[in-house]
Amino acid sequence: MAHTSRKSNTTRLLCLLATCLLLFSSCSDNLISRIEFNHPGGSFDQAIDTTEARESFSFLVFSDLHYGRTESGFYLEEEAFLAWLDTYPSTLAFALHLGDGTAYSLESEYRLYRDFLDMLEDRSIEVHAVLGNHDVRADGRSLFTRYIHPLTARRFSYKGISFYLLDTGNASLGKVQLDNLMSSVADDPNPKIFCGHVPLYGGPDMFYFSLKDPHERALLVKTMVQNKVGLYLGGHLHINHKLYSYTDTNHEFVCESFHGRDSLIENTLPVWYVFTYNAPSNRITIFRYALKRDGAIGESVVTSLALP
Amino acid sequence: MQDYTDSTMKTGIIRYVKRLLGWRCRLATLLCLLLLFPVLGYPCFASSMSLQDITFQIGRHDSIVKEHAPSVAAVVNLESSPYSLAIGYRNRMPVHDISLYGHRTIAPNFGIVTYVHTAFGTADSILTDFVIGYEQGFMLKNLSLSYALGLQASTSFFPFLERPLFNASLYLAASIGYTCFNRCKVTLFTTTNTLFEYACQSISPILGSTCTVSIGDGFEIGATYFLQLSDVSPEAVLITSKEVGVYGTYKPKK
Repeated sequence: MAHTSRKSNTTRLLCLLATCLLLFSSCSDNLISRIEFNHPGGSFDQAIDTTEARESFSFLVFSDLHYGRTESGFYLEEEAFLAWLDTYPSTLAFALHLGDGTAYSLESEYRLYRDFLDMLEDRSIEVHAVLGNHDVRADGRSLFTRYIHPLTARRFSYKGISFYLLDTGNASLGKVQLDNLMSSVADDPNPKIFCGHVPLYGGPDMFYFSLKDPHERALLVKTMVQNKVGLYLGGHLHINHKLYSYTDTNHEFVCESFHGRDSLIENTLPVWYVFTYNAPSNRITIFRYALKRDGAIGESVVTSLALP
Repeated sequence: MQDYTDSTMKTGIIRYVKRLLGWRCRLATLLCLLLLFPVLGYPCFASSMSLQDITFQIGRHDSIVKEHAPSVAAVVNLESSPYSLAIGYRNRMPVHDISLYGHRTIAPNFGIVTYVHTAFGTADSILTDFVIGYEQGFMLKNLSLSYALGLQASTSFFPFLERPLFNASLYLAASIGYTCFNRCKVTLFTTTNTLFEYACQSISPILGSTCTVSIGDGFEIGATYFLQLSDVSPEAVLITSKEVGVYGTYKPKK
């Protein structure tokens, strides 16, 4: 009798184990067959000019607009920025926005974000924007493709330098985008700049704000060093800028936020940057502009970086 | 789909070791890290440790680096009360993982845990992480609960960089297990570090489950599944790695 009972229990256990295995293997394609889901990847197959001679130029960089943010102390100073832009003494070839144009990925926020970009484009400054983590919540990625750009990851070239706009909204590039980036970069002889929202590394004191998969990060660092990627631009951090040099000619720069905030947790001024590429010296100089509490705009030189 | 198998890995490791040997002050930092082990007494007690069990696992590992990689792992558990030590090796080409896990019991259901894990084979790099923390468990009839808190640090060495990349963050882990029929145990867990997996930063949780069944006195078989997410809610996340496997454990008679 006891023998029969033990046999029955064993049968039940094996059935339970088999059921668990079936559950493991069939719960969904997302969990088993694919390493990612809800991520469009990026082909990076847009045409670029690899024969163009390098020339000096300047471009505008800003990050973290966060339209719709409701936390205390948050403020935007678009008018002061546009007034500065209207009197800026030299030509800005284009602008890069490093993500988080919205706070909660709402359509109303995307409309305000679009309106702001239109104000720059009305001044003949084309804006290249990437996705941030705040832009991809809920239906954010499709709103981005509708209001900002049809592609969330893409590339373009300007005067001999290629710019790769990465989709880091999920704090990872994901398998498809990473594969496409690796192959596209290897075939592109231009010096390159990677533009993403989430920093690649940023330094040892970046406790939360960078990409988290160590293998993904290793591949990106190796790609930067071996494929003439002189600079990785990121945002996401808000509170201060960070510069980390992997080698003499491979760097990462993390930008402060374009919005200001006056609170205990985050006490920041509205900040934007002008990057000036000097072709004869093959260096990029970063100028920082901060709108102070008294309304004055302070200019400072952050650094000058050698490119590959 | 690309495969980042690195044919230059061996060359990269040699170059890295050469660089490391010339890199004395930072080498001292690494040695200090390794010297933390005597605190838990592993070397002292290793000779007197008795073999508790040997586990072999086969499965499939998917990650951003490589999808559909066959995964083979072996883990040996040793014990000399109040110490226990697990030594593990996993091959999921192109990545090789070597791990040590140590536990020192301080009081019933309370102990200090450490992990040291090194992964070779991605982009010429050597990725190392270290964890130290404490773990507490509770038993409620057939239910077992545990949590662990601590610090984890990770370092990525590259032969082509002067300095390694370094991160430190919190180590967080929790698990809940249920034992049924006296021989079956189902466990659900969330953690920032396992024997073979870790994140550069803590808010990239690993979620998983295991189901183990005892077969006789000296054998166990089971299945395990985990996935690692790129972030936590309310952010939109990706699965950055996942593994499914079956394993068998042999417990030699004492």
